[in-house]
Amino acid sequence: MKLSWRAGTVRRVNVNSLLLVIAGVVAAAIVACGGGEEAEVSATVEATAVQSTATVSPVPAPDLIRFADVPGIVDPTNFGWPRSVETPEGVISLTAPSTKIHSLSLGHSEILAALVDFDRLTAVYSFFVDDEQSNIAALSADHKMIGFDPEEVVALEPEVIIASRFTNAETVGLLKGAGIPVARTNLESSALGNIPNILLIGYMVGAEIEALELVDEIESRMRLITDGLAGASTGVGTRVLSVSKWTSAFAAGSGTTEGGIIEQAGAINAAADSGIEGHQQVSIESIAAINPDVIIVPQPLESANTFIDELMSSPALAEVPAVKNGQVFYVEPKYHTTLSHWNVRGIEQLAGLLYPSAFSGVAFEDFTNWGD
Amino acid sequence: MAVEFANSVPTGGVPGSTVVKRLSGGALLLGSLTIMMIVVASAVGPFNIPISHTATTLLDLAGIGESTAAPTEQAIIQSIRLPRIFLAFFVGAALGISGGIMQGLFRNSMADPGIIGVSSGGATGAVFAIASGASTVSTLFLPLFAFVGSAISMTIVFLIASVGGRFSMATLLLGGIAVSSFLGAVTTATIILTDDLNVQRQIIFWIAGGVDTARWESVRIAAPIIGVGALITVFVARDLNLLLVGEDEARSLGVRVTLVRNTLLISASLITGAAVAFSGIIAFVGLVVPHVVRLAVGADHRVLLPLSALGGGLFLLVADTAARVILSPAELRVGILTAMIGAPFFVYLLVRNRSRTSML
Repeated sequence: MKLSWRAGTVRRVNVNSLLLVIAGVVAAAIVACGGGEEAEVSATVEATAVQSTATVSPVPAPDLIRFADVPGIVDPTNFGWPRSVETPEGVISLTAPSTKIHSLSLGHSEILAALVDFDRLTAVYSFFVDDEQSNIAALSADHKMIGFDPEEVVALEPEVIIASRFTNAETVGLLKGAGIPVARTNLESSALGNIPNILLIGYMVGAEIEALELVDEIESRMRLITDGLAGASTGVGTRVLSVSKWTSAFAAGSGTTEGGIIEQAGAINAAADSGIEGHQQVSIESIAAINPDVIIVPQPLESANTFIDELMSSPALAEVPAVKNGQVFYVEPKYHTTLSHWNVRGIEQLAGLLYPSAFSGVAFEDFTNWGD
Repeated sequence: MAVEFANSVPTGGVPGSTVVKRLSGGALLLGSLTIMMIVVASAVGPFNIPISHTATTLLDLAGIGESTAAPTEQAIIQSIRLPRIFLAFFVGAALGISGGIMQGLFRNSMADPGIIGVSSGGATGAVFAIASGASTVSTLFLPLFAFVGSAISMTIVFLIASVGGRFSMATLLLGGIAVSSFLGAVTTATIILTDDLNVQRQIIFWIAGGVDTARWESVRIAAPIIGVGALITVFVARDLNLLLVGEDEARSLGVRVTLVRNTLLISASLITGAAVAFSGIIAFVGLVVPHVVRLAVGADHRVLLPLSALGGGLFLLVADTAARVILSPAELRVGILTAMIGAPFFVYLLVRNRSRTSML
């Protein structure tokens, strides 16, 4: 059997149209039951006019119930506009789906690219076009590019700015001082743990249905991984070390994106297992001491190959299982180093490497972006 | 500070026997500690190697007996720990002796090896090697570019100090500060303006300093440059003592002032350049070690310079060993530890020896 998940096979449905249909069905059902108070019908119908200045909260459609538990949504029953979200930067009120969204992080931009037309993003940064590091390189290549000066962001006149926990406080302070609403969401290194953030972002930009589709896809892909791992007869518990070399070598310990990917691929993060927290400098000797079964190198191919050659030729690592058994792999950094749903691709790629028999019939494919 | 510094310096009149006694005593102490530290540093690290295996491996390398260590253990000791140990020692020695020279020449206890732009030049050279991709062609290109950067920077500062045909130490100092600032801006601009995250990371990590990438090739290249440079400076140390009371006085005492001064400056710069080329910028060693040595044995450069070299080597070796094991199997950047160890110790010495310090 050839299992395959092809993202984007579900037709993107305009949220407004869907809500209109749902509202119509609900209204018809209420009228048909003869017990419908006018106020309820009116409220539901009003909710269909999402783009209007409706202020009455509609009854959420069944799928939208998932938004009820999303931290940061001030009123989970309100799918109309204005709507409010609360993030570490405070409560912001959004009067309509923003057509000028600015994301300060690559991870958020990757998520937004899946949820909304990329043209709704005001600009990108130079490193977004690096196709080894970014999953939206092609989209970014034709997009307006800016530098890191907050003034450039202000000049774009974005209606809302989305920042990550890595965005420095001064930049956020300057942007807020310029009167632009800033939401800061903390992306998680767990694919499933990141779902509330994706839903929150979808809610903020009025892309609830797209967010739900993306979440469904993530959950389906992760189920496929879980099922595959459950069927894997050998190799579960493999100790995997993720290490990159930038002048010095750095291992990914606990709390890192790479570490999260390793664990979600059914393996043990060898660096975390050895007590390393976050990204820490290590030496060749450290790698020998960690003694991993598999080493993955998530950095650009050319430098990765140089580093892999160094690892494979080091006499100090000759007895390390990963080196001895030729289990040292380049993995695409764009799946491993940016916090977004694309980490699932990293999990799939790694699971395929670690347990080839369990996923032999699976054709993993990339996520698609909005409109693809 | 400058006057006090000059007044405290012996003018070469300290009896030779006293110099020999202080030098041999200090060298014996620091040399013994260094040898002990080499053994300790060879024995500890993230990879657990029994002490007996380390000992037999070291003895084997010295031609005595046969190593009982497993091949992996031998490889770790021989190809990872020992090159790093020796590079740390030589880099520390280079920074220590250069710091002593610069503090003496500038008669300023705040002077350090990077004061005339050598470190900044090395950093700019390294940045150029990384940004241009040359560092990926050969592992030796990065230190080579850094060394060339140091040499060019030093030459520019010398030319600035010699404008108008008259060499000025004050202009040398100010020129060094200006060139350092300019090159620092070039480095920062490169980091900010480059589109390549990998380049940014490599530059930042290189600048942070460390000897974790040491190989025997590094030692083979750095050690002769540092060793020869250090020997030259030791030979003119007596003249440095005389220079400190004033160039005219030194000249009247038979010192070839220009030759001695330039020899010391060029040697110190090349030594620093060689160290920076292989380790990046490691702060505090060149500032603290000569101070500590001066407090211990006085300001006679015939004693101060060799012991600063030994002290600097020992200090960096201790710091790097600690950097390797404190967070094992992860590592700290050694520059963090040199500052963390050096700064409080320096303050302690300053407070404890306040009366003597005021005379330095």
